[in-house]
Amino acid sequence: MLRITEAVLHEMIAHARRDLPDEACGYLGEKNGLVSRIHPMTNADASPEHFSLLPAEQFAVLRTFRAEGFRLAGVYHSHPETPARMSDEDIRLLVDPALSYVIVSLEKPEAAVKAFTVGGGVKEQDMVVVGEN
Amino acid sequence: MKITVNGVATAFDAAPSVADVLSADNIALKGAVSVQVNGEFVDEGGYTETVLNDGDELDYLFFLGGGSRR
Repeated sequence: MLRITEAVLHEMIAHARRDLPDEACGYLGEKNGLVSRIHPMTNADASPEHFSLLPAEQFAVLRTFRAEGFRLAGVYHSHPETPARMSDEDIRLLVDPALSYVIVSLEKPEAAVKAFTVGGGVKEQDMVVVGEN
Repeated sequence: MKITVNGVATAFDAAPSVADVLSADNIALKGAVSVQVNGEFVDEGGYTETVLNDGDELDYLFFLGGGSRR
């Protein structure tokens, strides 16, 4: 199960809309079992149909997360015009079994967000959104 | 000797190469990861010949990319 704050969820969707027509992507950090840290990343492909991260930026953000006490828990990316499902390309390229892969679909006016894991095959992951009081 | 692998102190009996560390973590597709030792990138061609010293820090990350079509 992926527990994620409402603020992170909203920021993922806002980032996806900001970067239209291109795909947006970023890292998610977890502390005490809750994803409460988001870091928008550069889409090196700058494309409406593809994304890739820059390794130098990946390492830099990983170290920032560590310094702040966060664990790298997941990666999000957007599908500007297609559903929130793992595409064939996603399945081929997203291979880290330790991460959750969150997809933000802007196919419809209301964003759809789903999480997946890939260890032992692609599976949709339960996602619980936690409000901040 | 101890090497810090992705932030975790890890003991090795002898000085490991980058390839040894990746194998110990069951990284079969070594081309699927990027590696830094003490903050410096190591190309895949140097994984076997790059031998680590006690106290070194090795980080690896999987390539991350995908696409929305199909």
